[in-house]
Amino acid sequence: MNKPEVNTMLVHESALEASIEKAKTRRNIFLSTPALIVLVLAASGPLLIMLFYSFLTPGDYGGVVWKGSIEAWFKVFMRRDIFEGTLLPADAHLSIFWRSVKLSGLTTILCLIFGFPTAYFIATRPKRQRNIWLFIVTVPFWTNLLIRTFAIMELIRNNGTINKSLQALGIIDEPIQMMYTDMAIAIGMTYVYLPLMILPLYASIERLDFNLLEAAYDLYATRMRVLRKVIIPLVKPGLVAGSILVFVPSLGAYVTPRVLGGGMHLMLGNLIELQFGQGKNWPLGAALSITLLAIVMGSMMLYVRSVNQRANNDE
Amino acid sequence: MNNRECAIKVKGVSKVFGRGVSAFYALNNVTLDIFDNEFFTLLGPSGCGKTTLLRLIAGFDAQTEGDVLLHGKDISHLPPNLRSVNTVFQNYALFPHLTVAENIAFGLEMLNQPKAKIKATVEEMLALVHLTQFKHRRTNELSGGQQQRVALARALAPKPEVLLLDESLSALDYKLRKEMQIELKRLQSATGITFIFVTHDQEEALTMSDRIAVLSNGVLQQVGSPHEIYNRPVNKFVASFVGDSNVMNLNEFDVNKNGEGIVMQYNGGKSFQVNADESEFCVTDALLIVRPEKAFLTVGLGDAVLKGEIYDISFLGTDTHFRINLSTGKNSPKVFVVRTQNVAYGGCLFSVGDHVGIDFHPQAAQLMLERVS
Repeated sequence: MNKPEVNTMLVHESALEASIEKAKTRRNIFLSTPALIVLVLAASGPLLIMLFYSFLTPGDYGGVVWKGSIEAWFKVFMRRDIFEGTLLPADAHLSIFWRSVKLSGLTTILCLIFGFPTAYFIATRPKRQRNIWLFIVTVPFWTNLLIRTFAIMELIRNNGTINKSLQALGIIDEPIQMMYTDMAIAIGMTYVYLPLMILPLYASIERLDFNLLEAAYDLYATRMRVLRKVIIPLVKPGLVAGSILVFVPSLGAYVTPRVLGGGMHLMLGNLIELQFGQGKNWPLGAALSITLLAIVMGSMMLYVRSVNQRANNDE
Repeated sequence: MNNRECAIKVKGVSKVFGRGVSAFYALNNVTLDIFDNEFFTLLGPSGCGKTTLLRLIAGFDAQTEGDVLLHGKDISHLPPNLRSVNTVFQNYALFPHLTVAENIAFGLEMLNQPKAKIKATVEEMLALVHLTQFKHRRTNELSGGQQQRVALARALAPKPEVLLLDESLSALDYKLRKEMQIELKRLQSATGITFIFVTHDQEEALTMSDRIAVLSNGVLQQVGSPHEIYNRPVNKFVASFVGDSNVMNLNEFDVNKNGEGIVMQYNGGKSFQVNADESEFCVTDALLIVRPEKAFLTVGLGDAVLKGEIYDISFLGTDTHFRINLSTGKNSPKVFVVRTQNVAYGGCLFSVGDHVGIDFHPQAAQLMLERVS
């Protein structure tokens, strides 16, 4: 633009703003290029390879034979009876899918129940203390996941701390079987993923205008209704983010169900590992991985939609 | 006035923060009666305890000592949701996740009123604050003045016995504030609800209030109508906080007493007599208060009460302020302010450096004991 007249400048002010906005957007896209490259190379690329592998034939000692087949996808959902050759649903796989979804959901709920009061507590501390509390919350991240899981095992196994203490106190005679149950896996995952719930919740609650709570309390709301009608709707972004951050890795969890569930309570992550390892059926492993991805995406869509719907109903 | 019913009775209320040596009295033994259907203002500088008192009445904080009564009922220990008192917050505190209509309906819903009744009240409130066409908007899409009116409607909708307003106009610009002052007065008389308004703006307090309570350092200084507060301030603090005042120590004058009052003369100027109880004002720590607009300048020096040299003139549109260095006859300088209304068409008669006389009617001067509180 070469020295425009004052009048035209006024007229074109909005157009100018729009073009500045566009230039900014272009620059921001440029800034995101490294992230985009990593995403394409490290996420989308391997995903496409997995998808491709799932349509190949398994090799005898692992790997794949370059021959197209939909056998793997068939095996994800169905199995053939060994003797009669009739088609049956792959109930072992389906029960593992269900257990994964169920335990991940349970973990998310437990993390919400424990995480919300904690996040609220931290957010209402004086500013200086908050960082100390957040630091304490993140300390478990510094320790290896496997070691933390074994620590949980030490607590809940039959000769572990809890059972020994309860027996010493004479509350129980026989140890309570906690190891190798679905509940053990849920407790273990709750412990592991709790910080992922607390941190986004804290970020939301910390931004909350506490005047609004006083306003609601002043307008005849009981404490429960202040929570339901004001706090929860306003911290919803943190609630959703925290739930996703807990639910998604729970679905694919591998170490925790392996250690705390023994070999008997497999989750999707263990099933996939089995196919690539002992099972030597890479195409089936690949197909199961894609299935896991589909379950994650489907659950997320359902969850977000239901949260939004509930918010709309409240209004 | 005494036979009017009390909406809020504050009885010997103190609020102490901290303990022991670091104890801080935000409120110190405050006793107040606020009548039904009254526009009552708590006035004072920031940190004087006016907001603390408001929060005690609302129930957000608990007083250390004393009682708060609402229409004769002790509400000292009730939580805010059980007090028929609503607050308009300084920053409005509108619920950002609700629309204008939903904000207004909030209190009614919490009272579990039937849906049809809520709808009718919300419509009535929207009309009252002229926001009917905005009812489906989100509150962050509104201007400051509109948000202010939503906050008012939301607090008025449950028809509380008392409405508390915490510096509610301070966030608005000058013009809008003027409009809202009139709007608030209108709402108060339209609803018949007792308003307790907190402000640090003395002009706002004088404009709107039926009665004003002036607070300083947690201590109640004076309660009265705007007239009483302005024309008969009880101490130096009230005199200088509400409006401007020229405050002079009585020991700067040559003082003579006769039967009716005190005859005073300043550095050889015209003597004048102020009616006062002699026995009270024979002491040296008394003050003489003269409002700047009650004094006027004279060209002739001979017959003036005070004399001096103009060192500053500020033109304020409606008024002109003259700052005058008094001829004290001693070494200590003394400044006196005179305000004249610009009623004449011509320019200013005086200029900086002029030697002028200052005169005022004896009744414009008020004597008071200097009370340090």
